[in-house]
Amino acid sequence: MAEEFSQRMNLAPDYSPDLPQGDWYAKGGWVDQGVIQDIHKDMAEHFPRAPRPEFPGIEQRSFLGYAFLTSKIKFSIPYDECERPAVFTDNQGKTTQIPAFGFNGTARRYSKQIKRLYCENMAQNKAMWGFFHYALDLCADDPVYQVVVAVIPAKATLEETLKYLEEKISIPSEFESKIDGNDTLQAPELAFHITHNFTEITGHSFENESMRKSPIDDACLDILFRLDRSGVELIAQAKSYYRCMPVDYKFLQPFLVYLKKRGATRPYFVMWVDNDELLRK
Amino acid sequence: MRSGLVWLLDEAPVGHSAHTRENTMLTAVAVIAGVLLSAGTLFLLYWFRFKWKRSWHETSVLFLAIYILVDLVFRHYPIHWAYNHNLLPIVSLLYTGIYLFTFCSMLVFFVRYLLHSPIKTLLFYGLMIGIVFLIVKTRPLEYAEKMLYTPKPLTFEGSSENLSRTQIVPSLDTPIASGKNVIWCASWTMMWKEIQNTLAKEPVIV
Repeated sequence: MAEEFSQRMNLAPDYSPDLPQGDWYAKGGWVDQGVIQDIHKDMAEHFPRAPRPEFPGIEQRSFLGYAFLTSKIKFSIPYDECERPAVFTDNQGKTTQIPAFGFNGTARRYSKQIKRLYCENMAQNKAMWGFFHYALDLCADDPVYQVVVAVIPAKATLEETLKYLEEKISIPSEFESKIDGNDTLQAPELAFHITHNFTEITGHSFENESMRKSPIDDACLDILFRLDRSGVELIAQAKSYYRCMPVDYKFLQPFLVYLKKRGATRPYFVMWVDNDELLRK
Repeated sequence: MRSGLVWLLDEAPVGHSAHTRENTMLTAVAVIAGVLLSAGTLFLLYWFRFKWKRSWHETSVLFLAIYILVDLVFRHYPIHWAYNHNLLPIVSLLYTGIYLFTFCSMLVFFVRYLLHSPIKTLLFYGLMIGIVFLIVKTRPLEYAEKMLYTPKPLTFEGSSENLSRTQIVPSLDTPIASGKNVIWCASWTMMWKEIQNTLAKEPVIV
């Protein structure tokens, strides 16, 4: 499992060209060569508001890998809070009442801010209206960032799901990219802070000679993500060391959300929302 | 629904968090600037009245006409602009000052003219107050209030071990389990690449 994990990571592309400049920081080194001091200094300089990174129990002879990523995307015009609760239906058909944001009757106000990237009538009889797959850019007027939400089928991996969506977006659509004045939007709110330890590699050791056969005691990813009517906020840090008809755009079923630097080929945050576990209820 | 100045003092919609020291400072600056701007507007109206020797009646009608015209032409743009420059409190306070002035001046002259020509006064000021009331109820203040943003509490905070229906994947090509939320973030990959490039200097073997 650890071997497969490391193979996947080694083959993963370098995402740094696809990240907005100034939004990220990454550093690797040895503790006895002063990497912690370097990280503290650089973080204080580049991200003065970010909390000082802590590495509890780290050994003096330990290696340290650290990365920090933050994005704050403010919608030019905040979306309305939906007056009535929306109903999210997951893949198993379970329904949950949730608060949502969007617009109903005020689409024209957002005509510059929201862009339809993809829309397809999935009904076998195309004359039927109502069964759509779609993708929207929620901040099309932002020159740096792109926030995309999409109702599409899930694939075996996030990569395949993204590829499927990219292909769909690249095909010219019968729909204009500008939303219609009668369109409505309902999207759920997300706000969570998850700390995840990659147990696939913790307890194992780096086998490379240059890595001094170091064990991996901590392989931790912290993600704070918020999507609501005002915008999107993402703060993530990773560390590893040893311790030592109108069309109704309703994202009320499983959907994809990703953040991307505008014009970049790859996103830097992807989430497939399949159930209500992380939705505001 | 709260209205007027109340929300302004406790929920300044500055950036994404409403409770930092800087935001409190900015709110205080906004309140002072708003008061100065409102006072300046009042001063201008007094100056207009005496300089051009117009009655209060004419002054308030002119003021109302200018306001309606500006509102019709620019609609929500001042509020959008203020929101994006973190100046919503100032602009809202300015609007509030304008409303207060218009209402008060109309009320005063309503009483004053009522004594001289009750029917005309009732008709005129009734109509004017009705228009202003309609604008106040439907226009910028309410809209500004809708734009106010206070972050809501997190829906989940803690270790992923407590999430049974959510999967965190290290790379985009990791197979995903059916029926689960899936989250991927580039920061883990960046950290791995940093280890790979600066420490291992070759593909990492675990």
